[in-house]
Amino acid sequence: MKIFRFLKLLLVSVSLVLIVWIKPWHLILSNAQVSSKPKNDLPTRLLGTSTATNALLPDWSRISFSTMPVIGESGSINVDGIERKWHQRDTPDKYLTLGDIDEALQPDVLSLNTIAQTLNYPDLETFTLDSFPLLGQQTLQELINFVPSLGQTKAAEVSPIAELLQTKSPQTNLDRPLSEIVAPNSTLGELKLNQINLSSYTVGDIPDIDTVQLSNFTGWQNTLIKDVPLLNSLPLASFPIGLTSSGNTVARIDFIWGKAEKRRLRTVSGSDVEGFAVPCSGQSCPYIELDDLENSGRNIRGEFEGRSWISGKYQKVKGGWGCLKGVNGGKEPTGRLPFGSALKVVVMEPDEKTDTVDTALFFRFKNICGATPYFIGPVPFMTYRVNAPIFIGAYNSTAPTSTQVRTQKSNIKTGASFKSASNSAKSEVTQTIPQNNCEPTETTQGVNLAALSKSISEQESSDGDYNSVGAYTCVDGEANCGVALGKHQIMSYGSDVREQISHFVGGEEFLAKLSQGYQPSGTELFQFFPPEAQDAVFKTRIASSVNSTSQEIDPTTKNAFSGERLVERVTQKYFGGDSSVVDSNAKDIFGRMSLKNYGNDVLERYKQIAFEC
Amino acid sequence: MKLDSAVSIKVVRLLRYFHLALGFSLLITSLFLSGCSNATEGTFLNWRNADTVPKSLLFLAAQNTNLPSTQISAAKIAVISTQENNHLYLFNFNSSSLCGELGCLYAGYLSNAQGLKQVLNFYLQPNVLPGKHLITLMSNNSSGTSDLPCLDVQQVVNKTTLQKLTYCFDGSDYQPVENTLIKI
Repeated sequence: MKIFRFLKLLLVSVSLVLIVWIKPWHLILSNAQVSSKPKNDLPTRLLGTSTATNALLPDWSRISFSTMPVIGESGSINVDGIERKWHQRDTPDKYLTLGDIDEALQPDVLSLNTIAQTLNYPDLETFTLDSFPLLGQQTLQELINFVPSLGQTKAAEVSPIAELLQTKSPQTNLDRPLSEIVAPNSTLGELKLNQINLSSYTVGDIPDIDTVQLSNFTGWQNTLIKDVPLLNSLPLASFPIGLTSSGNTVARIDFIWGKAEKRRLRTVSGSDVEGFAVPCSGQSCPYIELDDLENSGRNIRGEFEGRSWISGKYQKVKGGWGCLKGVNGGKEPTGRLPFGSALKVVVMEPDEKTDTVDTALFFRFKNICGATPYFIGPVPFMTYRVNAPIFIGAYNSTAPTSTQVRTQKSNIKTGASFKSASNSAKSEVTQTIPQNNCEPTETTQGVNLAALSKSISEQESSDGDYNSVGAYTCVDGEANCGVALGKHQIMSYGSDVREQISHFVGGEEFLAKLSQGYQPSGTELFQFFPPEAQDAVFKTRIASSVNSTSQEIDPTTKNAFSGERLVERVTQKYFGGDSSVVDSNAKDIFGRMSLKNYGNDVLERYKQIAFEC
Repeated sequence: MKLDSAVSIKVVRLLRYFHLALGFSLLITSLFLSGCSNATEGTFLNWRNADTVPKSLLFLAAQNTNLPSTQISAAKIAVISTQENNHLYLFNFNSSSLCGELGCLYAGYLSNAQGLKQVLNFYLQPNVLPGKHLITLMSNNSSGTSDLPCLDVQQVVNKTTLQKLTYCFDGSDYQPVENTLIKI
């Protein structure tokens, strides 16, 4: 009996060991995953191509931040004391702020009223004020400053403000206009609406608050999308800069390769920092191999044939800029920006067994001095089978600049319904304009000037708007005062800038006003210092530097600067001045990158651009 | 009796530990709180001409640039006295040929018994709002690791925002330790 009992126990233990070893549940689950891979329920539309094949694209006119798929991982970062968190299964409206998307979609020019009109939402005034926490964060003085006619309105007629004043200063006469009650710099002016319970008040209780642009509210950049009434329901194509396709290039997925692949050099994936042709080697490089649509089955080499889109799940590339550049180790998954700078599309897991590949979206955080790499994700996007057409956006664009994105501005369609928005999308099907961002090649001292100008321009920290105007500032003990102008933020007191501007009728008067602190509008800037003139000043400075530097001796090689060293040195001079030490270790204000690093980075980018063009 | 006395000895010993731990935690807390106290308004730097500083320092500073030797004398220098008769020399080279997209070059040298040592080498945007100062001296050293003062630097980000960066000496170099955005 004892032996029998012993054998029974032995059998049980052996079978347990076998079960753990074989892991039969893996077989069941892996089969289940293939057949029940989550179907992407994103609304889509067809993009016409030059062949009979149509590519499937997300229909951004029917997708809002609250209807996007949920994020797959949780995380948090702390930047300058501000914590940003995201939780698994959150939709993007719960972790993205208006500041994160301001460059790409410009939500700050919206008002509650324009959002409601675009959505045909009739009952905006019934939203309770606590559903709009940004409003509660404003002081009375700020509200009086930016809400039309509020200062002339009697306090008693604005019920939430009346309650606030009654609670905090009971002796206040509420029958007086608010501008008289709240004297500038008074303590009453510093009261905030969130000091009372706002759940019983509605948007309609503060006259005209719905017409105020969000950019007037202090702290709008840090407000989550979900915390602005209705904004998370606004289709992405209906934002002031509507999310649309950036370019029209479609490729065919020729092959799907798994983790065994270790080296791919001709790629179409990367980042807006490294460009979109970052090679992958020395690691697993799963990828999808692309081909031209019309090249299927023919013996003709097209521009995509053999090009790879590497999996961003495995390959990381440099991303981010400015003060947030270092977040996540300065890295993000390799991928593309086919829909502008709001989100990055990343190939995730190319599966050789099923010949399918899934893609995901990654987002970034942004503030006024920089942007993190695109690392907030993955948000499941579209799944493709081999031979399917895949949208890759603007081909040959190494980095879609904000200027390119801003050219896709769509007007807010006041009162337009989803239906009309989708109609406008339908009209895009016929667009098949090829994109090519290569400029005519002009070389000086063997340096491709267009490629160098582009590489340096992309390395600059400024946002890159031709109509941007900086603050009025002075240097040299207030001997030279002016404003930074345009895409390259060139100071208005520069002699070459003055020369360009003075060519225009009224240019001298315009310069005189600038030196006194005048802040020009975008229209005026375009009139007196148009994009062509801005680029001309920038390129002339680069060309002049290339010529003069080529006459100097490189202390490292003991020869005149030429080739790659010339590119590096011109870059160092551009960022650090003509008399900077060669390969200087002097760093930028954040102490992160030295002049030598800038030279190296621009050289890498230059080589890539020069190679592609 | 023996048991009672043994117990009381244990209780006394525990109480001692408790007092010791309490004292230690109070000490740590007070140290932390002193670190949280508000920094007082910094003092502005008094920029002098180059002829007021030792020639050896000018020679060292000149090696940090490709400026012709005649132009180094145009530099403006702020001298900050530290403990033990040491000096911190801040250089504004005051030359447009040391200014680029990153700003203009500013350097710092520490003079002590061991000689001269470069402790700061940064590009700062020299543009300041009218009436404001680019660099101010923090009166208390938030780094706490040396007797060298921390420096507050104001950078204009755009029309509505200033960026205040605090640089402190980490024993080897000045490093940015705090980055605050301020609405103008």
